[in-house]
Amino acid sequence: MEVSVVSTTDAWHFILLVHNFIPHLRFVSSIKGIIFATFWQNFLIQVLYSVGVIQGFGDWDAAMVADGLPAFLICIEMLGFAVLHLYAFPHTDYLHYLQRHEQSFNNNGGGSLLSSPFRGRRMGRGNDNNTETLFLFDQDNNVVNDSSIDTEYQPPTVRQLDRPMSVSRALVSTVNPSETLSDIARMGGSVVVGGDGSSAGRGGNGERGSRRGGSPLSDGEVIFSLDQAEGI
Amino acid sequence: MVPIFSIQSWFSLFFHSASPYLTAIRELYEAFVLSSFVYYIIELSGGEDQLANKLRMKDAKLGQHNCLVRSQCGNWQMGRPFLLNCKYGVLQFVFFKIVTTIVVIILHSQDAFHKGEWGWNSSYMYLAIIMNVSIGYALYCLVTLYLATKDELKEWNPIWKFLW
Repeated sequence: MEVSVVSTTDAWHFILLVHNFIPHLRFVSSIKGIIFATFWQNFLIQVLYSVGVIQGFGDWDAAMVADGLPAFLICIEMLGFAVLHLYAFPHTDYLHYLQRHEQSFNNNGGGSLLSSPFRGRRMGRGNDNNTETLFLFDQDNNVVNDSSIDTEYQPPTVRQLDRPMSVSRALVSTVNPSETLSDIARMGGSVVVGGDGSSAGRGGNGERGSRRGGSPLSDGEVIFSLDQAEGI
Repeated sequence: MVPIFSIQSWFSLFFHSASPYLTAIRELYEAFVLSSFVYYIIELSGGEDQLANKLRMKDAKLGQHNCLVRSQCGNWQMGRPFLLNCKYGVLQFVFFKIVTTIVVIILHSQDAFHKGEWGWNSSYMYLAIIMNVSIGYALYCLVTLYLATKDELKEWNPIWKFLW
């Protein structure tokens, strides 16, 4: 009787422990799960194979099973990952960019980007009562009726990604090390090289960018030391 | 990502002798996906310069580490150093993944690579150790990057993007 009581409280403690740990576990073990979890799954199966747990199956010997088992598991798991990807990377994230793009396109007199009849009609109706009212409140919750406030202002929190990058450009821009080299130059903090106008502008937006705002440096000038850079 | 993974596994089940080469293709693609993901996150939070400026306002605690990592690389100053450390922490995985994939293919064609073989003469053991350390560090950097940028990316539903 006593043994069973001890074991149930132990089990309860264990459950509590696991329960408290699950959020962390889920968080840590499945960041980019599709890459990391499959890697460790393969590794675990290899370890099980070298320990000798995995046996041959049918025509296949143990080594082949150890190779094929991860592939088989991935085939099944990808169904789940596909559903999760639908929620993680939905296309609706980018729809409002497309709509904004389309609106500016229409205002410029061009046709609709997605020229479906339904979309065109909806856009037309939207343009009739397009006067949107923006209410602003001051500290005492009174409505501020100031027509001078720029209603077009949008906080620059997210950069617009309205045009998808082509695959070849994405591949080249992630693989080529030009950005990496400029990063290393910035990390060292000793040499800032502004080659042409564009790269000088990019580098200048960094930590020293604010100080460099009204600097007498012209584009293409070279700063040799941190002291010199801070003196500007 | 999902289609490439599943098609690769499906074909390597059917054409077993070709599976090392198919797996190599998939692993190179994995490296590409992870590097793209880091740049995607940086781009979503407004580009590298803007993100570095935002990170400078953040709590310095985010750049502090626990015992093991701290002894190796110290604390990261919030701002651009933090961002670059996170970025290269993830991108070193890309580098090691590409190198080990090529090494595995070469060793496999010389018949010198035996999976699941442990011993001081086994190439598998060294590669497994390198990859585990590299992947662990990359994962750590991704988690720190997530914790630092989750407020910026609130409207992009970041937890799911980081998870899968």
